[in-house]
Amino acid sequence: MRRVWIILLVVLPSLLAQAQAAKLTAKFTEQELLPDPTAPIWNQVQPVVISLSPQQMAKPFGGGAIKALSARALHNGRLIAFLLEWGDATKDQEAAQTDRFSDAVAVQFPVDPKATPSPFMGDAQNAVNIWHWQAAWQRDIDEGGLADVDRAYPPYADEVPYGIYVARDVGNWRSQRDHKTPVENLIAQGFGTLTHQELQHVLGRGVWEDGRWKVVFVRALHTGLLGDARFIPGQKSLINFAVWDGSSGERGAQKSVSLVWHELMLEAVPAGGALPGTPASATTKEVVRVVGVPGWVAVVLGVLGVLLGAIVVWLLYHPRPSEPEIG
Amino acid sequence: MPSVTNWQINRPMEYPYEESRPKRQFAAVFDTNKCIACQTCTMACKHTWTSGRGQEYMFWNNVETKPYGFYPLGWDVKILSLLGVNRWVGHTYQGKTVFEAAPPGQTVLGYLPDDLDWAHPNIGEDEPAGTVEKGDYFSLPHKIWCFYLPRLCNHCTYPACLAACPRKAIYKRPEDGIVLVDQSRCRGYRECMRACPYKKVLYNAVTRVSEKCIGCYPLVEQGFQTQCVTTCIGKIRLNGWISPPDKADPEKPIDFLVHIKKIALPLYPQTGLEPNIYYIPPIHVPINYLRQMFGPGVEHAINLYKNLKDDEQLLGCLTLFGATNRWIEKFKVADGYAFGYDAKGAEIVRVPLKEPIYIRPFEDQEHQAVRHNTP
Repeated sequence: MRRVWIILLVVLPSLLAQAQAAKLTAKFTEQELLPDPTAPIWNQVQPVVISLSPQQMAKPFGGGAIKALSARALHNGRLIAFLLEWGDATKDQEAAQTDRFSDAVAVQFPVDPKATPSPFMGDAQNAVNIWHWQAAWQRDIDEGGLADVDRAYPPYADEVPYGIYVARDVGNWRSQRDHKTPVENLIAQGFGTLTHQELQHVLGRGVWEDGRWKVVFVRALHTGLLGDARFIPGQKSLINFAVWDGSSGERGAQKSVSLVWHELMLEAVPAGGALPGTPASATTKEVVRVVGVPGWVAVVLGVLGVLLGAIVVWLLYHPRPSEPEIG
Repeated sequence: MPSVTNWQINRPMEYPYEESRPKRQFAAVFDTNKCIACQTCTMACKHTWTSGRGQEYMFWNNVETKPYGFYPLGWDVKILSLLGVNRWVGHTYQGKTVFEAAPPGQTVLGYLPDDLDWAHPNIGEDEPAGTVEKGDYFSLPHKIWCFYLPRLCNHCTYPACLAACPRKAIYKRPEDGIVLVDQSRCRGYRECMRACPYKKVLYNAVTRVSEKCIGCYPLVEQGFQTQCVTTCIGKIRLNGWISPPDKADPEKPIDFLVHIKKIALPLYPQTGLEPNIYYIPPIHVPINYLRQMFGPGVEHAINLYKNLKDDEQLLGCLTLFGATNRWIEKFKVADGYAFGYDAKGAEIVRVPLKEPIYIRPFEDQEHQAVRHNTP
């Protein structure tokens, strides 16, 4: 019963508020796309503002520290890049202390461009591909190696000659010593199912300056890896976002999320416009049905919301039998 | 939330998952009256499992002096304070468990210790509860007291760590009830650390995922008791399987001590986790303190312990503590001996209830020697 109330009182109003999903266009550029959030090329792109809400569907609830982020996208016919920015007064990159958590951001796409999975990490039938950047991994890379007890509790002996690192030995990506990228490439089919992908080929870089994180993600439009999202120039796709503020104790399910999918449109590659040797949309024969969040969905959601609102009012004022105490 | 049975609080309670008891449940009984806080168990565990980088602060097994020892700092007073009044009527707990008291949006009521709370594993060691005044003398319970509480993961029937993990990366093995963190699925969110009232899940700074006591399962699978049990020089510990009370088997040593004799009690049963490490309470500690820690059965347990000499079965069972490194499935006391048997019913240990007395003459004619009375 409690779950029904949560859906009625929390999720639906938020859904209504956000029913007008944002449209993010990945403009075509002939320039090279590098994992550099300060690259001047980004100044040519208008950001789209995405509003975020605390995660309140899967326990533990949490998040809410970050209210919004801005997103930009570019592609060059071969690579796609996203620049995400949000305000965060504290730069949280410590992962070696038991009570500290890292800032982070994630983007999510349907694996099947024709499908519309649940916007909340996908569902059993429809997987999503998630790219997860963590400030702690960025620090590892920036400082040339895994930051652990030596940096959290200096001074520390160079190396302990013994010990077993089980999580590392069994292939847990989080536990590996030398991350080549601060972005983890993941697949999910609903809450709690997040699993790292076989290949970690999403590049990225984040910088914190004057109370603001700027994080860029770069990946090939098409990787061929099962479970990786595929981006086709000239076609629409979906994108969603989540942000974590480490110093607010946000981690895992405790995060700020966008409650709806947003449209991601890749500009078509102009004839002869692709970089040499790269597959352009003109060469892509595959026809992909366009699935966005069109205006009629918002209208249907609105009507549903009014109906459910009436039910809520009726339930609130209708006398209910008191629930028996648990003995 | 499903309703499950928790015999330790003598009532049904809420838990996020349906009741699903393992085929056998890993358990142990610790006799706190015999513990001297030598920390041999702590070091045996440390050397076996947590000697690596990132595990410096980890003690899957620790021994703390009560009332002022805590690892991490203040763990039990904090959880008791969060739970509020813990009232029992008879053997039924009237208050809320950590699951029932969970705030909205949470599965378990808990707290994440500060990093520095782990920095004092031996705080309060050997500190008594008060100062000795002129003219004080010993009586039971002691006016000035402290005792040693050895602790490890309780491999609970209703683990809070498991309930709190949003990824289901913690599981309870159906074959022996041992609770494990899946090292390939854990993502280091520390929700388990926050939820476990006993604070026995620990975050590894190097692998950035959480780890915990694994019940020495490689030993248990081969019919041996755990490192912390077999290395105990005070012979205060015994491993075994525990059954639910309606299936208690008086031939199983842990069932006998916990269910038949009720001399061994769970630690903070009011949390609702049905923990499976059981304690024979110290006889010299004020009863209200013990009641808060071990529940309403302490008076009975203490009276029984004081009269051990009159109960041959119980005395026999206690003599099997520390008598073998093998896992004792069943035991028997007969003809002045306590016998321990393995899963196939073969005898693995035999201990006399009383050590025989040998009187040897001062002058040994056979060896042409004299013996002095040096013990």
